[in-house]
Amino acid sequence: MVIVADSSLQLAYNTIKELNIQVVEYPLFVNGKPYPVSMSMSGEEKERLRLLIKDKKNTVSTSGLKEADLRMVFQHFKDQKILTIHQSARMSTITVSVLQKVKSELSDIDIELFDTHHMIAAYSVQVLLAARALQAGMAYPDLMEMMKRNRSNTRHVGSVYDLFFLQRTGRIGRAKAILGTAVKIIPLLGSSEEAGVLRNIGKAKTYQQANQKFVAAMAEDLEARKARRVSAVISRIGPYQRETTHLKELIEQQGWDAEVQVLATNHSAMPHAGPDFYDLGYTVHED
Amino acid sequence: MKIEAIGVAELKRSLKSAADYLSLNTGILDNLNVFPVPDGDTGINMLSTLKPAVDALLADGIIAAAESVGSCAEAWALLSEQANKHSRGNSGFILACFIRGFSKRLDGAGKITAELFRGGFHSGSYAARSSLLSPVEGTMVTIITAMAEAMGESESGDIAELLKSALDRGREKIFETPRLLPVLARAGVVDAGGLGFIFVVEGMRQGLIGGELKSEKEQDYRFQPDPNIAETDEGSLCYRFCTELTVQKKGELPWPELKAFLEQRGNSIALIQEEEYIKLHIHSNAPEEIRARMAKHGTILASKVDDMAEQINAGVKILPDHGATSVLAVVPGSGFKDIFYDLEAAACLQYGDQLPSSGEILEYLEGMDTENIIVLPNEKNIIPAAMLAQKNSSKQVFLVPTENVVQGITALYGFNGEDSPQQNISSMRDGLGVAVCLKVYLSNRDSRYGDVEIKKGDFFVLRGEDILAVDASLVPAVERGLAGLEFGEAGCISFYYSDAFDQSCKAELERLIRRPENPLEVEFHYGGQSGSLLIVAVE
Repeated sequence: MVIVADSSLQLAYNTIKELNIQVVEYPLFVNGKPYPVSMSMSGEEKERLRLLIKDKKNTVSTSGLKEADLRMVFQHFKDQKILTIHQSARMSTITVSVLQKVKSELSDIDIELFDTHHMIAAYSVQVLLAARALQAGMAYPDLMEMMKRNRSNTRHVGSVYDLFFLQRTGRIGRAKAILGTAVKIIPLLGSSEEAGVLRNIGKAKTYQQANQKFVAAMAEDLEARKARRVSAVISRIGPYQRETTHLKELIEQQGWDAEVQVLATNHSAMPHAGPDFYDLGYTVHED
Repeated sequence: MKIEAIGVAELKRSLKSAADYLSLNTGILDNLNVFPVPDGDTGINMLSTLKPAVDALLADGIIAAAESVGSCAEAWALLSEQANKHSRGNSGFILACFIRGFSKRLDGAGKITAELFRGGFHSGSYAARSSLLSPVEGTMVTIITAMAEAMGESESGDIAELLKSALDRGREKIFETPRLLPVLARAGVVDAGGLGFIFVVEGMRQGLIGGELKSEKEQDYRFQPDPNIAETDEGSLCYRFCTELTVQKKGELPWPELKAFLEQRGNSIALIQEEEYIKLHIHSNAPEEIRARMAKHGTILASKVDDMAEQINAGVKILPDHGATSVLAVVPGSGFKDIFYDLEAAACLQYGDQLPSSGEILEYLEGMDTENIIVLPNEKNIIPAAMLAQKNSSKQVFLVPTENVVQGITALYGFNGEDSPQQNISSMRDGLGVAVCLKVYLSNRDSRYGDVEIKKGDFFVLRGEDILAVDASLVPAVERGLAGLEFGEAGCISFYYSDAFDQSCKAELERLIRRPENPLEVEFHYGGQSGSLLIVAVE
């Protein structure tokens, strides 16, 4: 069995290789022209792209996954069961229809589609756990059961320093965008009960306040599920190493059985989340 | 001449005289005001409450006539309605409660007899005291109670005599307030609110007997400050549940026995006995036991048990969720108005030198187009007026009891207009403790704050009621004020400045904060507040 994901996956290139995750790229366009991207982009290359996005005169966007790319990957692994895991269908309806089209056309290949209902870090943590379980030899029925459980036990929170980009692409539901406020405020977003819809979960003046809120949310979720073990992915766009390290340390200080990875965000999330952003996706384990 | 009863005309004359006496001596009350905050507004708050109410009563301008109201009961009811509407600050709120309580006792009376006056005073005293969750002795309620007791002890049928006995007791008791409230002893003053109430009653009496209104002397109410007096533990909540029961009586109450039972189980006890029913008010930890006991004396028509600890913590009514919510913020300056709007407040009530009245808050509430409204008072002394407005509003009004504007800002970090009131109140309460608020003032007179001397022109820094620093220069005062704080997880210091702030100090303040060993961010925003020069948020 092989796992296929898309390039909104926020895992380190080495991790992706080690876990044998096949990634299909979302094409990226700057001012309507294709821009070269890959999961192996260096830090400098990502920063160049970030600065292009930060300049609001530029229009940077992604399109749905290409039918040809998907077909190629699926056909390459046609002798295996293919578990293709994606971010919430709400994020790209084109991708969903392309996936379904390709799956029906390649009916001789055993393809299973899985919608994680989440995005960015919260999508990534689910892919990470699935790939590890597969590598550890978990059988397909058990894997599917675990993934469904993980999906309902996953939460997504993030600090979005500029909501312009999420608002422009319609990815923040009805949350009010705080644009150009007199006081510098960090809007905080989180997953809602509606799959793939982000909601306003508050505001913070400092990253310390934001991180305290995130950890409080984690504590609530752990307590609600009487759990102590949690897996988390923190991804960042922009110069937020101090903020994300603080969040990691804060989680680790809680005395839970917590595994936390901090990563520099891969390219596909950038046009949507904007150039100044960090998020946390975590899955609570009900052991 | 013995005054056995008064009609509407005499009542109007008496109340006009009360407002005039208070007006004549307002400045003294403002100068004596040191508790709970020495913000010099006790006199103005009381006058702002009483004067519009009396003016409304005298609206026809003919004091001797009684065209607008037909009976004394109607006159007091009008006075009460207007006082509630206009009440400002703690002292104004208590005065309005007293008037309301007095009014209730009149019950349709055309004239007020000495007995009714006595009963009205008691009823007013009860209403004032029981309106406070945790009355502090040595304040206005102590004086009102003492004066009501003196009236109760007097057997005179002369209203002027009753007022005199109450005034004698009040003027005696006012000099005990420093013993009861150490902050007064340390400042060398009597309680301003209590003295204000005495002025009101003095004015009423002079109006009745045709006496002269006189200017009181401030030095008569000042004495040598005593810096050695220790503080007491004030304001603790020893009884949690505010219990009110209305019982349709079966027969006469075994009063001494019942009184003993109640006294063993609570305080702030008030029992109103009418012909057919009794109404009990008590703060207790055993509401069910009290309910069972009262049920023996008749049928319980209505009952209410409020968890005061919950009210204190949340400041909210327990109501079902009703969807979308909006926020009304009471703000001390135009700059804060912009900030609160940015943080998604739907409406801002801006005030200047005078705190807003409950009537003004109510007007804003009624004018908003949402049904669920959360009020942020953003000043400790506005909370009572906000509570009154909440009570009188036709809408679902909730109160998050923010004691300063910084708490208001951090409470709004948790606000989401799409959430229900309950969800919002919970997340907004989480924000109340995330920042420390300091206020920096420029003293405009020589004064004393506890055992700290402040000279005219000094800058002083307050955190709540504690003075952190005094200095002849602004920046050292701020530096010393900040020096005592535990910064912990703090990441930013915001300065909200007034028009009086010298902007050339910005750079120096920034240098003070942004030292190499100090990674804090610094922000300056125009607040436009009156009173304090700077409001400092450490978060």
